[in-house]
Amino acid sequence: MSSVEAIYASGVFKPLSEVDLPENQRVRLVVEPVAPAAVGSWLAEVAAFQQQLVANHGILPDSTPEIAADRRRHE
Amino acid sequence: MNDWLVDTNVMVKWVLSEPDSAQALKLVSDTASAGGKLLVLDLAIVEAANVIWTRLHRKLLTFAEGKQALALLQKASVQIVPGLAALSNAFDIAARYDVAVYDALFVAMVKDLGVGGVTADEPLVRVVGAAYPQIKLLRSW
Repeated sequence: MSSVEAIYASGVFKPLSEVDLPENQRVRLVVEPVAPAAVGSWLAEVAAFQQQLVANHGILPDSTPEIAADRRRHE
Repeated sequence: MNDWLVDTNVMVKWVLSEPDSAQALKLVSDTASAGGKLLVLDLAIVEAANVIWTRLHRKLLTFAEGKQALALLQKASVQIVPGLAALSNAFDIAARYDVAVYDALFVAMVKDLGVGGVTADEPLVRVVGAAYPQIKLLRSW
């Protein structure tokens, strides 16, 4: 038996990590709400990660124009 | 306004070191301090994951860093909202303002949910800002 976190949206449970099951395998779900990570600890984790990225790669290019262009890519 | 729908371009700045990342993280702390919540479209998470992949593809990130960025994104305290319900309104907005349906879906959901919107997309705010003043530019946060 294994445990996996999932998000419930639009009537479907979506696992947040890979699940090693054959397609169409029937499973039993025991639903246990997971509290979102505390904002403070998440921010601390993100800040540490960003510092690591800056040290390794500098400031990355702004993705905003790329996202906008990708959304209009079939023009 | 306490609750904010966050555009993909802002979410990405939470987990990648980009220009305006500091404002993007300030949005998170300010909203939490005000007792509000952050919402994101289900589609936005996939878009953000794709941006992380492009950084990996261009060798701007290692695989481990990309995975960590994605994991942090998935751990963010956000409410995920399905966008399909607003698709018809989004199409109308897209046609009226000549913006992509993806952009229009963000605008339509801000209106439907009765929340503020935050985006880093300056051209989008220039086009729809007068009609949807509840949408703020990240840079002005």
